Amino acid sequence: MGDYGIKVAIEEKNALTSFNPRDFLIWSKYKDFKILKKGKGSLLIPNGSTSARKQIAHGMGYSPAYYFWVDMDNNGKYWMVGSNPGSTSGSTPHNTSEPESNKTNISFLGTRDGTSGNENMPFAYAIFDQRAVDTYGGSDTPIGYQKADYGIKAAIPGVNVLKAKIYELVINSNCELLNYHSTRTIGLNWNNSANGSSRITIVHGLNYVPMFLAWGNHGSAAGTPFDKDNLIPVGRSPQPFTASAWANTYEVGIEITWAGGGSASGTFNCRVVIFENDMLS
Amino acid sequence: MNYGIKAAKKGVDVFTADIKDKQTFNSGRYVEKIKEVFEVSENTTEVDFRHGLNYTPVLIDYRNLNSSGDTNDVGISASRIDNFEVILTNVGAVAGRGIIGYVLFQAGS
Repeated sequence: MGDYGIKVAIEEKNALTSFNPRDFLIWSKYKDFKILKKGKGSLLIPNGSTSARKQIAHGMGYSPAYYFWVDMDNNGKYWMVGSNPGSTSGSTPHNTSEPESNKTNISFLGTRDGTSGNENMPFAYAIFDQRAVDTYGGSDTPIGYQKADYGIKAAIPGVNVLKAKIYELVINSNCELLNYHSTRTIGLNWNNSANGSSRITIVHGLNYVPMFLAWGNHGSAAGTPFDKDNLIPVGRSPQPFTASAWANTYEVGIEITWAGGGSASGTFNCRVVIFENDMLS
Repeated sequence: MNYGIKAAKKGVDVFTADIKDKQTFNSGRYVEKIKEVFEVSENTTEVDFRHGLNYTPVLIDYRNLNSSGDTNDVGISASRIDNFEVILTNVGAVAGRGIIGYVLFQAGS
């Protein structure tokens, strides 16, 4: 560990002797997970089509980490991208899939049951400074990002902070940070002796739609792969079991569906992390 | 909290900036920082890493959808995590496809 950098400990913790990263308000040893760009828009699925892909150009020159939340039913509920709760659950005739990032844009696919009429899916997105598998390169500057020659900055070891690329900065006060709000845990019971679904909501009370992520696991239930926390949505073998999550200005919802014909049952344990960031501003 | 280090977006009064969208730095808030970056680039279906935290942190991970070319489409992956380890899960692994996982922790919490 270097004896350099910026450290500020929480109350009653010694910044000089603590090794616990959670004891620090600021520790430049650890990079912030910075939001370089966030925004909102709407995906149009035109009359006669069952699907459409929305692309957001970012201009960074490398494939950045990213996330989408999509209001599939245009009713103020922003689902985690990839959600496919299915119309059979009575939930929604819409779904999203194939979120992707590449050197020029991020995108997702919206689909629906049927082809009649134009439909809009509002969405929100966040683009982070870190790469997603691809190597770094290009301009490193997202479209619309205004570099600042002021503020608080610290770079990774060996890099001149004045010349550092965005992703080489551990602290950059020119970026919005992913601010932690709260973690909620809750369980939903399931039993695939017959078709079924279950949903539950958690009030956050923020009066805006916060960025959030959710995970779920089946614990040690026989015949299920989700023995640890899996990022929702989940829905892979052994099918069919799906879990999806959404947020609106008041609460976060978790919805699961399953098909009958089996004998497994148990509790799907969900963990929701809510951030203070308003996904729509 | 009326002390500490604060910064706001350009053109915004730092004393009145809202944490939900205008503040860019506040030493009194919990923020997600990167504890570990785990990466595999081989034709591997599952690799486990210990993250060293005694609680279950945030994990977000991505996997490369292409084995060649320069498009490098990257999807959101489906790896698993608990209070001990991360298992990067390269579903449908193909040679050359990589996966990267960011384990985040809440500084100051």
